Amino acid sequence: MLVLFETSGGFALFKVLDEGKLSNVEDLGTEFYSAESARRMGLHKFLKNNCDDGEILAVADPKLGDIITEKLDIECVHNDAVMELLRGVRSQLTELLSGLDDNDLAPVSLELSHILARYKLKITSDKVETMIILSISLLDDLDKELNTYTTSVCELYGLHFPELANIVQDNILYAKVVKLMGNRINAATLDFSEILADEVEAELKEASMVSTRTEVSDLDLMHIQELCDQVLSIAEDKTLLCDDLKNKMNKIAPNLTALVGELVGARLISHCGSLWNLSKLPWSTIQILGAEKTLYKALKTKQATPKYGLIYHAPLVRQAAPENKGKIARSLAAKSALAIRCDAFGNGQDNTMGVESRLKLEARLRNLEGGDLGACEEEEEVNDKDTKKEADDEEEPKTEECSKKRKKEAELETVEDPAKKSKQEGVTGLLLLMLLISLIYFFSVNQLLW
Amino acid sequence: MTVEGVNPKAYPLADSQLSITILDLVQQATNYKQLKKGANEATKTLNRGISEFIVMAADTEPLEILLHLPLLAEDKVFEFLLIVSLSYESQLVVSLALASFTGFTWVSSSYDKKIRLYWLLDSSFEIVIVDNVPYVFVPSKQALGRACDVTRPVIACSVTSNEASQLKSQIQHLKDAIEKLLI
Repeated sequence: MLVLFETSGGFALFKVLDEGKLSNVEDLGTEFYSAESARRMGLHKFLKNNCDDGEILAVADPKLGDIITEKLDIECVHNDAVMELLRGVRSQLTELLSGLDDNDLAPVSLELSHILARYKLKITSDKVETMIILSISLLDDLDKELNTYTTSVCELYGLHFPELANIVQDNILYAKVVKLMGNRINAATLDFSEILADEVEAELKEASMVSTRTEVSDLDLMHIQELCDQVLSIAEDKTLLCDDLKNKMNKIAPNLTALVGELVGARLISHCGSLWNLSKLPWSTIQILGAEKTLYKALKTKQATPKYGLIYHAPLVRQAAPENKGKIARSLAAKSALAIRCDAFGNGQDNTMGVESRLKLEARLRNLEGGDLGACEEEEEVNDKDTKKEADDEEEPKTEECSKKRKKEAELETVEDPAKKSKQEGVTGLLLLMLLISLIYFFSVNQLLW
Repeated sequence: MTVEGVNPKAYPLADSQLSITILDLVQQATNYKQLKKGANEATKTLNRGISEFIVMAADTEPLEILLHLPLLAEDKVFEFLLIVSLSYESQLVVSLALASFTGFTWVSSSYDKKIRLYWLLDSSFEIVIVDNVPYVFVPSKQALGRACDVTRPVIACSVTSNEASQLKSQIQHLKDAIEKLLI
């Protein structure tokens, strides 16, 4: 009988000398002398080379035994005696296998346990959203810093050459022009063709000769140009960060990126903390993520709830007409929820679902905005359905928040009951008064007759 | 029904007999207004804690669009603080405290649920009752749509709780049957 033993470093095959007692196990010379040969050899070839016909193989896992029997025609056995035998082998493993000791076995076991745990939890180490969350925060910070610096450049250089702000509108081009030109007197002799168009360049040179503002000193000019270097450097960093974010989003959430773009997708993931948390939300929550303050204010004052949050900046919502933004935002949120779940739970890098959903939404957008006269009735029906759906969606959040208000209303109803009772008493009094007047009138008439 | 083409991620998958029972109960829940249709509304019922069990269709394409429901169903935890008083609760608290120190999960016959005791830093404690919502896959979304009285296929639905409902015993039996699939 042979015994197949599984270790974290590979497989081992032992021969049982005395099957009756199941003792005196002996090494068959199947040590793995080098890691290279061990790594290349698979279980199939290993068993085929070492098992003779008619041998019985003892295995620890009955399912593995069934597979071995099916593919290699080796009879396998699995029972309590085999388990006891394997336990004994495990306790003496370092002695039975020459060239192997506990210090070598520990890191291999640790690596195997990590791989097994990662497989069980279905965590892929390259799908980590922390970089995305930090990248989108850094992108926002760079935006603010860039705005501050460009405003400073315009203010400082405006003292010297105020017409330039009207001629060159773009901040980055403005910084490049200032850096190249320096003093405005130099504008007449310099060549701006690499930065500006011909008409703008001619206009710039004309304005530089007729400007009547103060002169700028060399020290101030040096400071302004250093500030321009800062602006251009930050703009370059921002461009690199955008490209990097695009690559990461296409890797982690390809369907969501195809639908709403990498910036909006990154903001959604950043808002929820991870793609895993984002996948657990219903699409009505995804539609108004980023507008929580407005939502709670609307619920408290019983006004209209918001139609979009972060999703407003998606390209599909931005290119829609104002009256259609709400409908497109709702459809986009529904498709985005499905795309997010595909990204979170699917293992592939396939973005087919996102691309198809985007095509459907674009077709719907064209259908909404390009209204034919013949389709007016259909549009009206669609609008009615959408209005009803919106009402249904708005009702559900209110029910959650209005439970306290309902209690207050119940208290108010109990307070109103005495008012009703007092009204009823008033009515009864009035009837009694009318009856009394009738009686008095009757007696008066009788007295006149008498 | 072709069993070979079923996605292996659709687990636990009901066999034909249990599927008929599930769809029949789903239809009755529709009549009693105890059903929420669609993956979105099922998500909301799980978040609000009013779901008895979740039924999902195994032939959804792609199946990932409803794999968040098992996560939410297994993640449902009800927490509350227990106030110490000289009564039956006091004895229960002492027992729970002993169980907490030994590190075991206490299963109390009174509550019939798994209870864990967390000793907080301010000498009070928090009791967590872990109550998973059962979920099950049925082979066909068309059949699930018909059971929900909807002309279109339905990929997920949730039977909600109602203490006064006549379906209470049937729901309990079906929940037990669903949990047997996981053994």
